[in-house]
Amino acid sequence: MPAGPYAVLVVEDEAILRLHAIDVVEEAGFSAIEAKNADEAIAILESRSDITLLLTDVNMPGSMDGLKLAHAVRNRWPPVKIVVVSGHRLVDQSELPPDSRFFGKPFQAEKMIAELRAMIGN
Amino acid sequence: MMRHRGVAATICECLVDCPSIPVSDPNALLRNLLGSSGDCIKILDLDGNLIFMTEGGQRIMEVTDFDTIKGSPWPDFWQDTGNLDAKAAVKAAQAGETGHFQGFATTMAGTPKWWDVTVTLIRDGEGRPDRLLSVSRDITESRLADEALKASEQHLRLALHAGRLGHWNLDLATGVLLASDFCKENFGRSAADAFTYQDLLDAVAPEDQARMTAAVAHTIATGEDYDVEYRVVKPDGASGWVLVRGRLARDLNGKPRQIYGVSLDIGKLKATEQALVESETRFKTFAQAMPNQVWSATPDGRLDWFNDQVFSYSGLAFEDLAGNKWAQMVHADDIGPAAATWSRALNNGTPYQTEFRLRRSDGSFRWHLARALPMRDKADHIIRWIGTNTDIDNQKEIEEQLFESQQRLAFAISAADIGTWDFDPQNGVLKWDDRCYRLFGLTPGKPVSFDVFLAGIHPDDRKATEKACCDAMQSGGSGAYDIEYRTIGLEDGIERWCSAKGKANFENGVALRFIGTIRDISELKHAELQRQFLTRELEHRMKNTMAMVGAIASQTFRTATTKEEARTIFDARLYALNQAHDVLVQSSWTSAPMQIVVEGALAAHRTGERRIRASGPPVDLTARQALSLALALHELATNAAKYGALSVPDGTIDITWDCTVSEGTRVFRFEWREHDGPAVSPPSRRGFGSRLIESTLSSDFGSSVRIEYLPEGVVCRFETRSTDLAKTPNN
Repeated sequence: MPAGPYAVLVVEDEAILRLHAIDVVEEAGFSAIEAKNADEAIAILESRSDITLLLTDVNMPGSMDGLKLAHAVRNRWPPVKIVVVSGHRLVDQSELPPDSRFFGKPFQAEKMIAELRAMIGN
Repeated sequence: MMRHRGVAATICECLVDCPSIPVSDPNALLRNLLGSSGDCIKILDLDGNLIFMTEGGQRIMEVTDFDTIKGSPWPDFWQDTGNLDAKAAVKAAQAGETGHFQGFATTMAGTPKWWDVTVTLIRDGEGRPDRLLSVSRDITESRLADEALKASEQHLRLALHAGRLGHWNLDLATGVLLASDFCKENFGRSAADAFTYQDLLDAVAPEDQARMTAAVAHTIATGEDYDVEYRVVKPDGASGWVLVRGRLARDLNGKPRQIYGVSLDIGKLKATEQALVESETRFKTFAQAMPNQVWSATPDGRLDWFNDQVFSYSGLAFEDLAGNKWAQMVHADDIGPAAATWSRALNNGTPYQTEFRLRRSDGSFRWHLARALPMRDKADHIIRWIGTNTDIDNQKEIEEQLFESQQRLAFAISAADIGTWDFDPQNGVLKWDDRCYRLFGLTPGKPVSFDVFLAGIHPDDRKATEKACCDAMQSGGSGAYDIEYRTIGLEDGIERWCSAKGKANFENGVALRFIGTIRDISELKHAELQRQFLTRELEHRMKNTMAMVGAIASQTFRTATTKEEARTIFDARLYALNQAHDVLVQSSWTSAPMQIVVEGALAAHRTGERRIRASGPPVDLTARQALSLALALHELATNAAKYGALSVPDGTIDITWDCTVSEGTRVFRFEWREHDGPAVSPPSRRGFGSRLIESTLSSDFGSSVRIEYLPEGVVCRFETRSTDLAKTPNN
């Protein structure tokens, strides 16, 4: 398993999709940290400092959805890059925090890998 | 009277002064003579006392016994002025003159009579006053006749006077006209004016002169009465009408001698007559000009006149309709009620009104409104009925159509649950029907206004609604109004969605009326929201399912060693996912019974023998748990078929679950245990299957999942709190 200096936090409540996302992140050359919801994600971010990018779904159970999580992360951990994935709707760029990317579900693995590499490579 | 007196005196002279008349018994002769006389002859002494009365006298005076009155003073038989007259007559006779008077006295039997009395002196042979002779003649009949004549003349005079009748007499021989004062007045002259026949001829209006002279000539020629009316021109230039009637009188030779007769001023009569004619003409002119059928009837209800509209409509003639024959125009079904109404109006003298169908000349019937009013004279007697028939067939039809259309509209409104409203912007008056009230959650009948209306609208929709109303009522606009808004029940607080449509009516650019409908579209709105929600939900599921399928495909193909193997595994996984979906669809994606999920997931792996045994109490899983479990069971079964219990003929699998209460919470336990398979060892490499089992189960059942690769077979176990489950039927 590639364990680069960069860790990507994958937040997805659907197990199969989470597994798939983790595979994609690892294939891109980064280590993947998984969380089933926003609360878990916040706890992980608070406990470690190697998270470079947040890859989150929008519709999730819990105290906040993916969009709120993205904003919270942008506020508390401004350097963390953000990728938002949703099958529910096309999220408008204005709803996203600055320097975020949006992917519709289901995403294409190659495009996601390229995007992750581009964002983290910069 | 002189004649009577003369006769008596002559007789007396004969008797007294001519005793030489040769008679056998002068006294008997005298008695007979006096007795046969119709007069009452009496002898009085010089003082006027009654000493003798003839037998005829006693008969006339109805004296039964002369002795009872003999010697009594004769004047006392007279009453009042008669008594005085009698005394004066006696006195005159005593002086040698003739006493004469007419007076009233009753006979001895009390019969009232008028008498003509002469009293004279009788001298003796020496010429000295001896006795008095009184001769009384009964003049009662002639006196009555005289009085009757006088009364008759008086009556005639009064009648002529009262009737302002003039009378006249034209002497045909001399042409002299004698005219009474009234007669002169008839021709505009006063009593003092001269009025000759020429004056009369000149007074006759030129246009009537020929007729008048012809009438006179006719009377003279034929002896027939003269009766003519003509106009006269009075000296002051005024014109008048006179009625003159006369009769021809002839002389003893039968030659026309005079015409006498009466005249009467009939100016007023003529004016009234003229007015009547004019009034009648005017009535008929109006009646002919009217589009309605007009008719008149006598007081007893017989029709006696129709305007031309009646004839042209019915194609009938006067004779066909007059009297009671008009009924033949009326539709057979309407005659009865119409005749009854007409008869009631006639009896009560009240206005007549009825509706009936009248047959037109082409045979078709049209509805008419018949009305009639009685005309009354000054004495309030009905003199005529004037009636009209008005064609109301079109109105009837429109009325029926309107009624139908109103019915239809009311039904449509009722059926569609549409409320109606009516706003008068000029007076600020708003009217709602009951449905309107209901949509604003207000008790029907409560006062409403435009402000109340706005207050009832959801604050978020109020501004837009007010603007839509104002735009509709704005001068120069289309007047149309079509909006959807929410109301918050003014009394019940319930939110309702309404669709309102309306139209403002303008006059001279001013909105006078703004009316429209309102419809409850809450259900529609809720359905729409539901639909939107479902569409979003469906989209989400689709995307999610696609993502899952994508993820499964991606993982399957990445880890499979051959294409064929990849396809087989992928198909099986897809099948398991599909099975779980089928179960969820049946419960509308809310929950799924554990038993059915397990059966569905393992169906493809069963071979007929009871190698896979599943048992446990009824437990409901959430949609996500059902999917995860289905996929996990599929992976477990697939592994068992490949490497475990299902890879050898005698291997079996027990799947058990239960629900127990521990420390107040329910705990759900699940176990997959393989028996009698080949000896197993943990896989050298964790594939997608194992990861999937652990990951999905732990994620969706909120607990850690353990997969043990025991030598006797694989065991997979997890337990979760029941709060993480869907509701359980037993709970």
